[in-house]
Amino acid sequence: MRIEILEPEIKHAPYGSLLKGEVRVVDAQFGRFACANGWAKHLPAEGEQLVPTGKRGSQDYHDPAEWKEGDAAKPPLIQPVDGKLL
Amino acid sequence: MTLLAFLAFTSPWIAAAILSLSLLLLGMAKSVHDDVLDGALNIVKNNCTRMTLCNAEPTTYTEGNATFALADVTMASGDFTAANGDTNGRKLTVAAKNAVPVDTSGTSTHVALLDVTNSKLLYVTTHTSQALTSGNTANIGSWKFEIADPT
Repeated sequence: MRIEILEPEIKHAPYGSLLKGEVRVVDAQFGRFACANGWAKHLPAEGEQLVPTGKRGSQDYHDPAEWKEGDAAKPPLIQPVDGKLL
Repeated sequence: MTLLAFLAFTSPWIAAAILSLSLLLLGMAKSVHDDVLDGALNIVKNNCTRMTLCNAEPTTYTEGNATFALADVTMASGDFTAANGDTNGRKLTVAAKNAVPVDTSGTSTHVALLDVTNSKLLYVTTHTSQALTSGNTANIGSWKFEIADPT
């Protein structure tokens, strides 16, 4: 499962230029199955929706040191709901 | 208390009877030893050997282990920790499992704990729907369930 970045474009945000793009998580064996748009500093998970804030240098701004095209996407986190037996 | 004082002055025997009955009722609170609650939790702790992600609510062992199962991970008693409950009673915390291999593509909605040796579906809970793809992996966060003290 690899990250592929599609349709990058420059858009102007209130606090400066914002580089936007579509991030698509690609499964090498079974093809494309999930996508999200925007940049994120953290490694995106499969199917995760990425929404940039538009602030340069903010946490949502993409940092290539964190992840880049071609990196393996993070596995999705499944959080079971706690139970209570009365 | 005013009524009791009045009765104590006018009819001490009746006041004493009311006081005794009240103390008797107050002394009848319910309680349970931790070992009793742990007995139930330990059924899961000592017998669960597999956790599965399912695309529907399993109601039988076969459904949890095969029919609805998309991914599975081996479990051992060390993956379960019993402790005092968050509110009261006792709780069992299930350890997180990372890089769980997905065997079948589908949308996972439920988590099941299985006793493979005895073919028992021990516990089922839900989670936010998540698309899974065969050949990929998923991370399962830590979770817990709790048995409350009697009320």
